[in-house]
Amino acid sequence: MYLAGAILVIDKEKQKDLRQFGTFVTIPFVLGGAPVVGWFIGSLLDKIGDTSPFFMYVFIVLGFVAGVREVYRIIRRFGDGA
Amino acid sequence: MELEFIDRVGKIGFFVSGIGAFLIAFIFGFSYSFDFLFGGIWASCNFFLIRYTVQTFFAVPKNYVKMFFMMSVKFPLLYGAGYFFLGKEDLSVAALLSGISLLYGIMFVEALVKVVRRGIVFVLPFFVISGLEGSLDSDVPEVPGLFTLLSKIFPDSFFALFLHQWETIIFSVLIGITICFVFWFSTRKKEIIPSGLQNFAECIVENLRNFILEVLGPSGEKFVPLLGTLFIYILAMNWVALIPLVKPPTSNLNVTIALALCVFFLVQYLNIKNWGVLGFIYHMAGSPKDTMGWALAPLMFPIELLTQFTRPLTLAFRLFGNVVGEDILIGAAALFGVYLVSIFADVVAGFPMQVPFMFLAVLTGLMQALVFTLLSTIYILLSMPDEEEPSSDNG
Repeated sequence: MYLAGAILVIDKEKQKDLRQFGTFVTIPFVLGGAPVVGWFIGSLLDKIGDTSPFFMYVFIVLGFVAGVREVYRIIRRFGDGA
Repeated sequence: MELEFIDRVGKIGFFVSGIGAFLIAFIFGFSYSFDFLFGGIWASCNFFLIRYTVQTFFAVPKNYVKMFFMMSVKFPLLYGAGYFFLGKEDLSVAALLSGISLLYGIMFVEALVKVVRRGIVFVLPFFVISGLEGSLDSDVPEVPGLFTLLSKIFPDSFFALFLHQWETIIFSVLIGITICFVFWFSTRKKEIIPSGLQNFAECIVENLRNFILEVLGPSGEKFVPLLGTLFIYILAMNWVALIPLVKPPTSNLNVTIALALCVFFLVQYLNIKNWGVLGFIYHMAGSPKDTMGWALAPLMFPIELLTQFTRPLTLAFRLFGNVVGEDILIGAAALFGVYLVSIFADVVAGFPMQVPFMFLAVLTGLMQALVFTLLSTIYILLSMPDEEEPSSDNG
């Protein structure tokens, strides 16, 4: 725990670098996770409405768009060494 | 870590995997040699790409095209190649893993040379721990916790089984109590000029507060306790992986999902509180203002809905994946150390092969805790009405 304290007081630039790097590591998870959620929701709707596999495909595509949009948001916020 | 070090390790990685593959081809046959070579080259490429990706992201004039290029090469191509290779019929996992681990071996040796040069010999105590951790067999080489060990030693005992089943919960509660105790103890006698433990606690709290307020602005004061607690709790749960016989609770998906759900429900509550139910639906539809906006609203709504649901999933899976990955890596390295010793002698001891990964675990543990807190902070920020104009450019 002492190390946590030590790392938290390192100079602002390093802290920002660490933060920025950590946030970018999240990008693949966002890109991958959104279509998976889309697939899940789509399959659920398909089961309810018996429309298989229409909603599944639509929501996977929507999920991908949502993922890209979220990545854009993350990069917009952290891309400039914020 | 200096860049020369990284470059040197990568280059030696290419070189050694080539020579190793050549030798293995003679001793074990061509198929093993090919698997080994692929593992070595894959790991070295991964290493180089990580280095260049990080460098691209931190370069001062931002080059977004290059960033995108690096990301699209690094993730889909490299991991795709790995995925297809794993489907190979006569794949030798041992050869592949040796190839992939080769780079870490080189890194370890390089680092060890540096350390030994400075006259610090710290490796010896880890021999025994390594032997203990590695000598246990399980399906996945995850480092076993104390209670898992007990349940293996006393398989018929109901109590041991109960403890094993509740291992994650017990450890997470114990960690929580320990943190509470440390902070209570450090602020028991408050002094104006803090020293010792009080100094340490104040340092953490103050830095966390600044860190959160930098993103949220002054109105974020009320979220500091929650986000700060999340950070300290997750950090402690990640770092206990380094203590032998303690299982990190974050290597269980249920714990990380529970943590992510806390943030998810808070953000949804804030969304509805700040915007009202109808306002929130309007916001989810992309806040349409003209005909075009209204036409796109039916499309925007499901996209925004998906984004909302993806967030807790990403939070939970990233944390879980990183911690469990670290745990397995440490376990596998410890097993490898035991195997190495067993070649020479029949004793329960192992070379401390897991030490370099433990250093890596310190870094990833901290980073994961930081990212979890940071993303939670961002989600809270996005749920505030002035989302379009963030309070400061620092966020």
